[in-house]
Amino acid sequence: MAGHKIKLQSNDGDIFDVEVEIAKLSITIKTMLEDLSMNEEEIIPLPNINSAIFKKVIQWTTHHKDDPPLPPEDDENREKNTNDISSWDQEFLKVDQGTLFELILAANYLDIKGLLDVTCTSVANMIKGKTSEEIRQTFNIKNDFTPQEEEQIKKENEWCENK
Amino acid sequence: MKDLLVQLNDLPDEILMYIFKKLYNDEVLYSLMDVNQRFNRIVHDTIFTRDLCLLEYCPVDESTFPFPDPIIDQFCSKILPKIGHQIIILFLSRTSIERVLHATNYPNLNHLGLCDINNKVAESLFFGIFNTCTNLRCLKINPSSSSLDALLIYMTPRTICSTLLELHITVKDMNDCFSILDGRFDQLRILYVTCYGTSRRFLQTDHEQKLLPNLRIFSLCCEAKIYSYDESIVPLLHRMLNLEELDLNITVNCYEKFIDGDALKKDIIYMSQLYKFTFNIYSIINHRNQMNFSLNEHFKNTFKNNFNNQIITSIDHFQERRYSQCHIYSYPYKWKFYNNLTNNFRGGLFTSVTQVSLYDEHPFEYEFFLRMQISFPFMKELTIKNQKAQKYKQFIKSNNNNQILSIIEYFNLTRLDLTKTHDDYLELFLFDTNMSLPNNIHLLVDYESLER
Repeated sequence: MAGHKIKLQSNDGDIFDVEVEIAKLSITIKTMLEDLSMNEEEIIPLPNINSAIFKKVIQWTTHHKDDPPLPPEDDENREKNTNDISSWDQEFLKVDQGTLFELILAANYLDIKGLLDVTCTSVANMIKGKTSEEIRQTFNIKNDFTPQEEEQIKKENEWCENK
Repeated sequence: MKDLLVQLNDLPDEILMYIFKKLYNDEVLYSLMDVNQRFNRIVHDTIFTRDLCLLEYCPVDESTFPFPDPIIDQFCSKILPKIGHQIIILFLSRTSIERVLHATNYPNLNHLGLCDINNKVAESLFFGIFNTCTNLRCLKINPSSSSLDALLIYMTPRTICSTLLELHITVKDMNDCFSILDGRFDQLRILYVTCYGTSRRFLQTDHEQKLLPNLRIFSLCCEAKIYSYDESIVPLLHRMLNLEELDLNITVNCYEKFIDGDALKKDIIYMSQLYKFTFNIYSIINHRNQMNFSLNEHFKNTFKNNFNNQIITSIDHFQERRYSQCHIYSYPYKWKFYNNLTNNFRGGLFTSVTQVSLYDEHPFEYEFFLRMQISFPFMKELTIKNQKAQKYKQFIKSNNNNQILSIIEYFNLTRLDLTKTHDDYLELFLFDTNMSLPNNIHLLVDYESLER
């Protein structure tokens, strides 16, 4: 029934009234409602998502509720077009790195393929063209190679730079 | 205080894999190898290392560009030595081939593509490759090259390779094609060859009489006119005892008779294993004296009952240039070019065609161009050769005042060649309001025509 709502609770205690059709874009919530026969009055807890991130997820799913389903991922012919992020999504994804990665974790937990796809594409675009050192700086990644391994990598880099 | 923000390195492996899979393998290896131990482990997964394309590909015109030198240096010094043994498929361009092949060993490489390589490089490499890549099964050289980059093989030393099963190659001459099939690649199962020239004399050696029982798929596209079809192509096909798929895209100079269904049946269809035969064959007969051509109906009948797919036939006689042309092809049409299209064209849908050339000694009228719009929706290049003024131009113009004609729109056109046409076609394409073309077309036209 259009407009029918369910209650979803984030891990910091906020309760959200969400239209069933929008909530069901999450395969995790859809499965809870259908397979576990949860009562519509029951509050469904989402222990892995805080309210700020869940608000963003609802914003995204509301905008994309009429999108056609994505085709299944195929490793052999996987889609490499990282430029096809719509302008609405580009605007939506203008967030700090922490929020972006939390959105990825939320999309993965809730099993919302479209959101997972677009957020991961956005990260892929951030990686593209950078050297390993730039990747460490951009994403605050610690270099954990042993001194011997590090020495070997340095030697290889010098060979490159001296060319 | 512990930083509570989630970072890239906090994401689980499965999500990192999902993100990295959004990138091409060369991008993954270039940016993520040696970032930290965990990333190293992930990017060593065979999904990122089994196939590698070290060039840029432009799908618009199917051209390729080499990577910048610093990136190739990075691959040669840091990346390839660590993953060389994992690489199964590798695509390279001219400037990087030697460096990459010498950077490490590729014991498991069985599929190699070499793009944008010129003739000299190709010929010197052609022989070295089989020593370096001892497990090579599939080799693609210049899949989209021009005649300038085509290989000359029959003059060069004979190198034998018994691992090669599939070869895609562009060669200068039909003699090069015979050389490929002289037994040097005795296990070859699949051969796609594009040939830019044909000698009137074929240099057959003893090797070139060997039977080819292993060959299953053969595709021949010859851009030049073949003068001795019966002495060259037919005997070649007869050596392919177990051929299952055949594709012929050729123009043949005939003397008395066009290549018809009976000829194809006698020479080709009888092959016992052949289950797929596609062809696009032009036969040309020059008018030397009064000739009797078989009637169109009789000609069509020779194709009845012999073919699994639909066959289209079309015969044109050009009195001014004194030759006749017979075009036969299997439909659906699968080639990129449609050459010498005439007023005889009866329509159909040709979604594979991007380049069309028109020629006739009768004018092409408005209605003809309208039909082309429907038949060639993806046409990018159009060449018109016709010196005859349009007969119904005035009629169309006056009629247009009373009723609205459909607008002809060639949505994908990027190149228009009007250098050998009557001014009427120039007027139609450049000034007629019933013709709509996209912006930024590359137009070839005689300056004098524009002035008129």
